[in-house]
Amino acid sequence: MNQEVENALSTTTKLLFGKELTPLDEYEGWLRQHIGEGENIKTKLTGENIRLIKQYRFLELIPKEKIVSFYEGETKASEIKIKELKENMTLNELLQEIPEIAYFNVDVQVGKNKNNTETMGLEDTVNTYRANDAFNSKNIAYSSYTKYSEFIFGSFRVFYSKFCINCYNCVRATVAFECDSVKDSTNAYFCHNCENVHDALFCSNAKNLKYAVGNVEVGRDAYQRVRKILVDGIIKSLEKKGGFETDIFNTSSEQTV
Amino acid sequence: MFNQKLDSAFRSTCRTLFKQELGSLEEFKTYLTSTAEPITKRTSSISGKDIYLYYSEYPKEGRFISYAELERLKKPTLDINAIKDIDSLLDCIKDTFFYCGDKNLGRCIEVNASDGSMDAGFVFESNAIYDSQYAAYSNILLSSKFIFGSTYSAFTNSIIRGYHNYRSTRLFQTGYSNSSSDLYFSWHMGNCRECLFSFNQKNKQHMIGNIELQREKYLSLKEKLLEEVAEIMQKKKSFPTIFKIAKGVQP
Repeated sequence: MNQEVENALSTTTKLLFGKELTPLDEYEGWLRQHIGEGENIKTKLTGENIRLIKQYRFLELIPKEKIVSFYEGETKASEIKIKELKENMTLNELLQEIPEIAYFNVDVQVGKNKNNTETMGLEDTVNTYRANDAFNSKNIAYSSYTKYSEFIFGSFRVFYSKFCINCYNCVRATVAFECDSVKDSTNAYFCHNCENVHDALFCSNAKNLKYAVGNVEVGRDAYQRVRKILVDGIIKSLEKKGGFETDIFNTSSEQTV
Repeated sequence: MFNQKLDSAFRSTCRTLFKQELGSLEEFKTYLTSTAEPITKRTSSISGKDIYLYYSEYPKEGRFISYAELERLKKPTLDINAIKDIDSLLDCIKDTFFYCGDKNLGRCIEVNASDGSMDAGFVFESNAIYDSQYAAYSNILLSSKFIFGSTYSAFTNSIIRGYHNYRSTRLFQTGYSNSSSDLYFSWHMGNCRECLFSFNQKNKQHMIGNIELQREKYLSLKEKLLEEVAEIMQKKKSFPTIFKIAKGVQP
């Protein structure tokens, strides 16, 4: 548990849904549904416990027993050499020696980092929980590849954004929920490929909208009414089931109710 | 079908790395496509043509559209009074919500079977390519050139099968390098030059198997070993990955 991150989730859900929702781990499955799977492993080199988030395809290809922690990579693993290097060594002879020294550090830690729990890949980042590749970010959980972002949960590739839950490939999104490929937008819920939309629900391939539902500007009052229906339903589902069935990747789907 | 210039770029990158060509880009497709996340292909609901998306999470069934077809969408309508609950809300928007692919923006030239690129040139089956040229079967590149079968690279040049490299040049089967050059089958190397089969090193050069050599001895052995690698690649159009080599797999 990471109390700062818990507090951050409360703040974010209050902004998005008008209600503080905790604890974080109760929503783990829902937050991680479109993020790489997490796995706790014990390294073979020294038995250190690390958490791997398999967001990138190649991580599945690395033999688990060959993965090392950042600390191991910087110390023990770097000291191992092959037994002998002959002048006319053949490729096959050399390849036979490599398993002894081949250890894969898949962590990067740069700059000043603080209070990061079970997170790999950090640069000048504070307060994270089960995240990976968090750069210049703060208050992140169950997310992968965030840059200059704060209060981000269950998201992937989110840059210069704040207060987002289950958002993907977004840039400068503020107070956003279940959004994909959204840019320069605020108070957006279930939006895809949108730019400069504000107070928007279920908009796609749209620009420059305000108080919009389904790409149609409906005015403030009508928007608020529909938003309340949506948010009330989300809160009810999150409190009862720890998730919400509709997400940005099944919004346009024959399976959607 | 990728551009002929891309094939030439691949051959040129092979010459840079191995001092000889290894074959065509087409011949190496299988070898190169297991590094980066595969491109997601769907069918346009408007035209029936193939479209490409940069994330694998989109549903198999749904409404899809190519960026170039957006103008063909009808003006949306909405009966706001029909929205009483979540089901009716989803019902109201279902005909207007489309997932858009082939989003290659800015100044893009010959970017094919790709999505989410900006200011890119001569790109094929690659996602999220920014300010980069000559890339195939790769994803998430920034300010890079001549990148094949690689993932997450920024400010890099001439890489074949690379993983998470930064400010590095001339890499083959190498990952997590930073400010380095001329690395083959190496991993997590920082500020290193001319290294083969080396792991977790900083500020090193002329290294094989984590052993430092004198420059002439290194170059002589490097030439011999890479000649053997090149010969196998020319014949088989493949070579065991650095991960398989770590498990003891031989070519």
